[in-house]
Amino acid sequence: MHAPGRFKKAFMEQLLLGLRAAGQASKSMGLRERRDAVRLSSDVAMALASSSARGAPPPHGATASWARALVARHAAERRNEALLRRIMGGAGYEMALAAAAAARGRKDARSRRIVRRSRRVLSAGRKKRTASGGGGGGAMAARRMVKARMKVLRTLVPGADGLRGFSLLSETLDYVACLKTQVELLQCLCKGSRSRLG
Amino acid sequence: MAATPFAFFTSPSSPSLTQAEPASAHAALDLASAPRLPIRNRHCLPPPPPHPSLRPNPQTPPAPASAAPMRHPSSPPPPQELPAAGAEIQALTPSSSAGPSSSTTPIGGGGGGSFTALLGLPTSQAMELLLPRLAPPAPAPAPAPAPTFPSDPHLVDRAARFSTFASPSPVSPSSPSPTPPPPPAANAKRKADPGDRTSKGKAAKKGKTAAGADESKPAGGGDGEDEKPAYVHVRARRGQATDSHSLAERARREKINARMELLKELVPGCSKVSGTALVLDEIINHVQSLQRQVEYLSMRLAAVNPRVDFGGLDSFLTTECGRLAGLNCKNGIDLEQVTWPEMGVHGARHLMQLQQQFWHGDLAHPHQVASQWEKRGDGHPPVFSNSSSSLFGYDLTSSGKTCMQTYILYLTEFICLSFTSSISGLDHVFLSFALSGVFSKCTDNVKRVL
Repeated sequence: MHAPGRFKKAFMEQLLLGLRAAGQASKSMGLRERRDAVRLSSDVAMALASSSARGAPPPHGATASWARALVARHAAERRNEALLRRIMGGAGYEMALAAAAAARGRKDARSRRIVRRSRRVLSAGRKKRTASGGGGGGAMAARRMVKARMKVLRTLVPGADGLRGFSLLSETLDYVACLKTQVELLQCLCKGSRSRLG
Repeated sequence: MAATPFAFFTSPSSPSLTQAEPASAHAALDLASAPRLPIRNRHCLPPPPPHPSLRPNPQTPPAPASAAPMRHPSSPPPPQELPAAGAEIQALTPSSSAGPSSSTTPIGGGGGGSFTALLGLPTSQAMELLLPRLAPPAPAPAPAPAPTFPSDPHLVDRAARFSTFASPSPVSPSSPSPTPPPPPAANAKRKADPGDRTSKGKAAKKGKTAAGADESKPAGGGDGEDEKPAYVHVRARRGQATDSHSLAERARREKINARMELLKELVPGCSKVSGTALVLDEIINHVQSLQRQVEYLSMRLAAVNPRVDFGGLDSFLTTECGRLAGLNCKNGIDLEQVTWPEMGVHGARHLMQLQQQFWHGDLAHPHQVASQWEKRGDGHPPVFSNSSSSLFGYDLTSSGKTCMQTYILYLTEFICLSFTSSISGLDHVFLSFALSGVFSKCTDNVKRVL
């Protein structure tokens, strides 16, 4: 997908930047706030790094939608505003807000459409199910299980709400890969800071 | 979801593929497997977005691609057009095999080794791979085709690029001619095809080859190769319906299966599980655990640094992490040199560029970005050498601590985390014990406690 070395490097750089900004921005006490600041900066770092590292190989349609949605999700909360502004710059923050608003709008429309469609499908599905009977029952059950899991996956992966099937799997793939590197890098940081202090 | 059309070949694992000839088993590109259905059943889906060049791109979802070429057949050298696709695959193979154990996409031999897995590739590459296939390669007796190709500059270009394949290359589907696409225009390759087709027709394991039908459309394959086809062709399996709907469905299903296999490789412990639902289960668990890990680690970081002030740690951390993350020391140095000036004048510019890319999803100036790093890196060595050298002397390992200490440290942190993340229950305390033991590698302590 994208060169892992490059991605890690970009990620780490962004992460350090973000953490430094977080340190400057919030002299706030409180473990939770600090943890949230760390998490936010690491998420933003991941999102930005993924888009930059992915740039060269597939030049078309670079950024994955999860990255934008992730940042938008963070931007939506008011208390993160200062930190985000510091990390991404004022313009970046504005763009994040715009993305958040757009996502919310899309989600409403989509949920309405889904409800309408589900009502239609329910009525059709009932007929179909009675018709298929026992033979198709096994496949049906499997399909229903898969659909349920896809729903869960949609809640887990940011920005994957309107995706179906193939694109959902692609996003998940991307997201899992980036999560893995995020965990690795955070562990690395932890070890480093611990051994330094210790 | 948009049914992006792909040209599909049936996977070699399909039951219909009981290959009589061992050589044909190597039709990794699966032309062999394709049943010879009459051409009229072939359906053309709207073309994929055209992509001018075919790059043996090692970074594309290589897992499926690498799987396909892994079987190295001993079939006779194919003609020039085949090498294009084969070279593509082989180019991918060494890159994928040499590729780092990337945390992003482990490339391993998974993916069922089917050509369809190649669908993981961008459309263009899949198309590229498809096209040469359609002029079916002849077994040994077809060296002649090569000279006819130069008439087509495009093909010559491609052949030149993949000239490594002039040598006997593996990927010759011994199977008979696949149903060639409707020939939009005449092509020089036509001369080669009829000969190939007939010989291949005899080699067909499925008697359905309808060699006659194939011969009746000799030019099809050649044309398909030369120009970016107007159509994408889906190959129907023997005994399956070939109307457009089922073809498209099958295409979609193959795509999804390719993705599932990629995911299976990425998520540990999924390879034994079969069935989509269970694999999805594993994936969900994995994602949840990763997210929890991130939360936990960020909590750790926040706890360890009372002020979240990482200013002084930059250079140290980059070297340490550069080592741990497999970057070499030099990169670590560059990293540190460029992060410092980041907050300076250039920082804003670079950040804006990064964000442009991020938000608008296209790559403005990748080279610029890279060059910026270099420039800054060169400009600042003298300033930072002193600071870095002092930090390099640090003992990077935690050897100072005893096992018990690390264990207790982890334990307290975990318990802290479980309390503050507003989850309650004794099981979480136990979980903390277990995790802390695992992390500090003092499992005997854990056992003692538990």
